[in-house]
Amino acid sequence: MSAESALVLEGEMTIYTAAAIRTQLQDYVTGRQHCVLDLTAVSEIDSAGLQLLLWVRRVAAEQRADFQLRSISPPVAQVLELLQLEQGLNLKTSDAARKQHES
Amino acid sequence: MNLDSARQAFIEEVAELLQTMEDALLTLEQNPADPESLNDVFRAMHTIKGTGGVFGYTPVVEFTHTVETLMDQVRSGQMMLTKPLIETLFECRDHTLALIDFIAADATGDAPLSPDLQRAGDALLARLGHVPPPTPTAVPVLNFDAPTYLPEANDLWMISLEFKADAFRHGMDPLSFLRYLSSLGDLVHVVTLLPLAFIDSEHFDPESCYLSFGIAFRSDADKRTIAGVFEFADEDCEIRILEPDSAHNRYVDLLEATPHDQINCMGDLLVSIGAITPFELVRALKIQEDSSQVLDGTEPAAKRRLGDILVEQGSIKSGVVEQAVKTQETARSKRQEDNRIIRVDAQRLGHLIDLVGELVTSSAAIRVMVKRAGIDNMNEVVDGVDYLVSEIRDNALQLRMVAIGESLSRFRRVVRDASQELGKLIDLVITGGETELDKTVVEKIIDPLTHLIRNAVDHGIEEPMVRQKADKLTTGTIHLNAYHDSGHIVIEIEDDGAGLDAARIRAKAEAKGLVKPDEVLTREEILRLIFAPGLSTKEQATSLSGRGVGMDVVRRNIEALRGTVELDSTLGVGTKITIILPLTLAIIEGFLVGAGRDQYVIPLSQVAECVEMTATATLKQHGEHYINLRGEVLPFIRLTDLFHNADWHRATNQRESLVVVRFGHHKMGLVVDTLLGELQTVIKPLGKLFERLRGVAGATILGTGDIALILDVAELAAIGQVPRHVAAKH
Repeated sequence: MSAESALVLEGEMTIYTAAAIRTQLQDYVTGRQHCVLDLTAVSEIDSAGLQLLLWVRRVAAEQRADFQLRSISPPVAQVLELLQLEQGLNLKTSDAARKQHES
Repeated sequence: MNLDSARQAFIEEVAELLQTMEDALLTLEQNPADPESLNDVFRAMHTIKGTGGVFGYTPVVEFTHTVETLMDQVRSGQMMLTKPLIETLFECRDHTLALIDFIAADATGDAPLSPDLQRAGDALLARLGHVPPPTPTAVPVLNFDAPTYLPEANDLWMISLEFKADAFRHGMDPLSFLRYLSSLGDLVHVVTLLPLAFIDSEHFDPESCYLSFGIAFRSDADKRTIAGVFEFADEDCEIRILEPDSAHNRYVDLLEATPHDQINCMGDLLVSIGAITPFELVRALKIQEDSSQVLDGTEPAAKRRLGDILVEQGSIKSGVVEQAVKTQETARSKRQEDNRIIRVDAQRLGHLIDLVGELVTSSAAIRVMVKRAGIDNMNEVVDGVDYLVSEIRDNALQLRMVAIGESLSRFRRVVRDASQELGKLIDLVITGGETELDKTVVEKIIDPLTHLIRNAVDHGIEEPMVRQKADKLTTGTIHLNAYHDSGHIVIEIEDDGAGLDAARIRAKAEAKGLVKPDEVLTREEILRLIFAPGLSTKEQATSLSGRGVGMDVVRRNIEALRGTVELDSTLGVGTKITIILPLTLAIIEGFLVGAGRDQYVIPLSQVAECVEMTATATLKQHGEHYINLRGEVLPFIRLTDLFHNADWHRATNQRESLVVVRFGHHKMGLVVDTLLGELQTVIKPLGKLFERLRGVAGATILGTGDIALILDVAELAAIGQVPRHVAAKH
């Protein structure tokens, strides 16, 4: 799986941007075998944003595609840690470990 | 029940609750940590808020809510109960009463609050440190110490949150609740679910919320605190909180330990021990109501058990419910033995007692008729009826009897406020609160009593400095005592204050022309002068008492109740005022006597003995008005002399009888022509025309249809004494 195939999301992942990101994710995931998200540039995430991540993982699973979070920003890391979702969203362990050290 | 009577019930309930609150605050003043009193204050505010809410009295709800919240903080130890705070709480209590009075006065029930009340309420709330409630989305920030974890590994709260679709649109961010929750303890395990099975990914709406969470949570916070985290999510989230096993055991223990007199409903019981939150209760009650409403149309099925609904809702484990049911049942069977209270309109009771009075008169008439007709075998039946009638009379009167304590305890506040205003230290001791008397009498005695107690505070007890100089305890004591004595209730008000200065009273009375300078008066008679109109010994009228009206009004009020008031005082030591009242105003046991052409009733409770005058003929008579009864000097009055109704047809050598009567500590004799025996006497007040008639308390209708006057023994004695003073002067 190559770097070009990852979807890089930037800025807010909140209720205000949820509709736009949904379209973005839908377009990206359709027909793809390997879904990789890069959330390094996500400045803020709320429940709606989290819900989108859970949704897209599910859509990927429905079409039997891999799902992976390649890299995440500290705000995203905090939420995933709170909800203990690092594994569930297949966050690369190095990132998770790095996050652990930061916090 | 129509709205008006419901409102009336509400107002009465509030009055009771506020009384409880006042008592509790008075206790707290002495002992700020008393948990029972803290609870009482909290409960009073809480209940008034709840009931006020049902009626839509928003100002009441808003005001009491703030006080309730504050009391909750005090109760949980987050806030100190300081003296100024108690003071403010007193004022809050009074303000609540003012709010309720306002509602009571307003027929429609929805008039806006008067600006004065509004301002007063706002000022009080400001003093309580009340800030306007935060907007519902804001999560309150609480400072908790680092949580200490319970040792058991499986000691976890199970919390399930299912958010509704509109949660995001309502400004909820489920994550914020979890973050807040994590501040109270440890999120041991979190499962985040996106149950989309029912919706395909095409129709996924990113702005609707589908999330649900299952959380294993470790914390030593109680259920109320944990549920408080989700307080604002109630509308948009299905919340279930299950207690850990250890808490479960604690609930069962608490249930077993709950005192039985504090158990009301299952729901309240569970809320009170913290097993469920009030919100969970409301939700379950609504389900219960809904389910019974559905069934209403079809068949009168039994309501679903609240416990079942709570278990189903996941609010509580069934073990706790079972224990609660057990505790509730024990309490219920116990309470059936205890007294159950029914509220009855006082007017209905009054009507019942009137009817019983008529029945007493009628049954006396029957007896007379039977006797006249000479039907001997009727006697037994008449006796039976008489017995039953007297039983009914006693029971009917008993219905109106209330313990006086409740009314006396209001004086604690009177004394507290008055002594604070005057800078005096005063203890009020109340004894005999369980003494019962007719409610109508209680209501009428409160005003005179209030006056007497204010007098004791104002004129009786001295300032602490003065007391110290006089070698007395700086804290004065007012002792309020009540007890039964031969068909009467005696109320004593005793203070250890300055006492009355007989010389000053006499001087004042002479100055006012109430007594002549050369008149000879006993000390007792001089003291009694303070009951004369227009005499006040305190030079300066204070805001509390001493405007020169009062004591005479007090005496008049008490005499209107067929009571007497006695006074004893020693200068520098204290004053004791004794009020003697009949237990009831309606029916008494009387003793019927004949004198001249008329018949009279003497209250049987005051009759000590009857002696034949011929048997006492050997006794030496002092002048005209005394006889020697077994060595005791007894004043007496001949009724025919007093009422000028001697029967000239009566043979002069016919025997007379002496009825010895008691009143208070005194005794006297009444000489009558014939003794006619005991009689159930229905007291009929005399008309306005005879208001000033002395020596007569009322009238009654005899079985023959004749009328007999009821004698007021104490007044007769006063009349009888007049000639003595006249004689003494010459």
